[in-house]
Amino acid sequence: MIKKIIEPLIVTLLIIAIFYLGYSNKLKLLINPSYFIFIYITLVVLFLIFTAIILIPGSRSKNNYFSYLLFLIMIIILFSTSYKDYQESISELKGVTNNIFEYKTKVDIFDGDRVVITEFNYLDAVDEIYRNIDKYIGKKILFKGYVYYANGIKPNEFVLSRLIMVCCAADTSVYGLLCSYENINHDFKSDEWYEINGEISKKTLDIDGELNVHPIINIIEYREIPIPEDPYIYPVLF
Amino acid sequence: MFSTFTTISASIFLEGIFFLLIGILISSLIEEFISEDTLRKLIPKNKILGLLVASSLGVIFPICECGIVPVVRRLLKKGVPLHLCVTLLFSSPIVNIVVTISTFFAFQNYFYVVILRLLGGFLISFTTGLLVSFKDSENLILLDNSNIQHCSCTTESCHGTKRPFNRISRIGSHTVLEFFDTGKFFIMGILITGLIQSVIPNSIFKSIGSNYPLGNIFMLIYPYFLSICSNTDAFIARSFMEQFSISAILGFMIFGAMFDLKTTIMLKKVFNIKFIIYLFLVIFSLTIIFTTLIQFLVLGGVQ
Repeated sequence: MIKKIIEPLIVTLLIIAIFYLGYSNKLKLLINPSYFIFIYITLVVLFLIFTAIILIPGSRSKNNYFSYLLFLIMIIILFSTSYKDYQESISELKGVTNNIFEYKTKVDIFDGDRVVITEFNYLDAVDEIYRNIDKYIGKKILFKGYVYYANGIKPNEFVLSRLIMVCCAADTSVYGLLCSYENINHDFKSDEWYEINGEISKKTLDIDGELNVHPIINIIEYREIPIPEDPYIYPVLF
Repeated sequence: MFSTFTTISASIFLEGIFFLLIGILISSLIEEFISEDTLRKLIPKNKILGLLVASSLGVIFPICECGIVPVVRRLLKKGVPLHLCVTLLFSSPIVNIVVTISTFFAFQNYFYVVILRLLGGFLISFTTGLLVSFKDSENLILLDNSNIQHCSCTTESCHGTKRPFNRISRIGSHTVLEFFDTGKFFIMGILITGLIQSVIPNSIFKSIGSNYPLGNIFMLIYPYFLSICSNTDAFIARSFMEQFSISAILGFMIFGAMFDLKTTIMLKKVFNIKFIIYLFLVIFSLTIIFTTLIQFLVLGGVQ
């Protein structure tokens, strides 16, 4: 009897949870929008399962209490995700990644004579600057991200980072450009979002005993911004 | 930490549930439309031929690791020999058209990686099936028959009928049963994976080593806990190109696709623990052997 009530209830709640994630724009913070088609089909199949439970009389296995409990826990989890808290803890857990994707050979990241990095050219642009630092030294740059104080960098430096999602939030990586605020009297709080206008230069960093030349952005102007609608960067896969 | 746990668990759930549902649907369709007799006729009598078919079935039957578990469970119940089921179980997450396409896109400039991944998946699942075929399959499989036969009717009269409505109703009722049954293990696997990922920092994984052979072994253990879908893991693997050798990355894409924490927990419903550990060790060793051969024969030794 319990089964008759709880099984359709679980499927309904699951459908509502997915709709809730979609409407509150949280779905794209969990999986890459390229995979939304799978979610649509999932909704259709769940709806069919719901219909089957309601219409097909008495499939008579035992109550599967443990399964119901796990499904309910999962539904609560679906309702309780938060991007902001996730961003804070995942940066600490994952640390900054370098050079994650092969960049396209010809990227034009200039807008006039200033480098402008957007959601759409983010990976290509950061990668391009890393690979051809000398070409960009002295150039102005405008880009957005959140402040992440990575391990092993100077006190007046941080990485202005973005989270990259290839497929789902389980594969998030942290990617960004090192910024220096030596000349600026402002307390950049960890995990706050900023739009930064700066000048590109380079610096040799000692990371785990390996010397590497890194681009570094000397901040000229900064503007605190709210968390954008699309905080994630989604690599173009196909 | 709690938010990392919820976000990672929710995202793996949303990413995997589609593939799980597809697997469940196929499993219910097999139950309804393919009888034990038909299956028996379809399976080649010759053991080697049977294994060859099982290890390449994924090409026309593209199911990844979440979906293949209910299918294999169904096939075992239908009397398909254990070694063929094991081969299918481990080949389909790799020798699979969808997985091949995604690997191809991730490794566009490295076509041989795609070929080596397919070859590895094929050889390892074939060999595992061959090894299992020498084992006595009794007691290895846990088939709780009571559950599956609990569809709306257990009598001949109903199961014999082929009227469309009865068929649809039986498919529906099997799908619902399987949904709650397999779903349980799917969610359990996700929760444990989410917990591990939200507690252990990445730097620990990275510091373990990027050299041979430590890096290669690490790249087998890491995806086990990552439990990402084999349809997309190539893109993740791609991101390790700078730190790891190609052979280590191949290991990640072969072992990680065949065996991960989530599937281990799902397999608990199908096999007994000892057999799961046996399979884990066999596939782990075979992947090590394969990637080592690749490292020395194809990539020209250790740098």
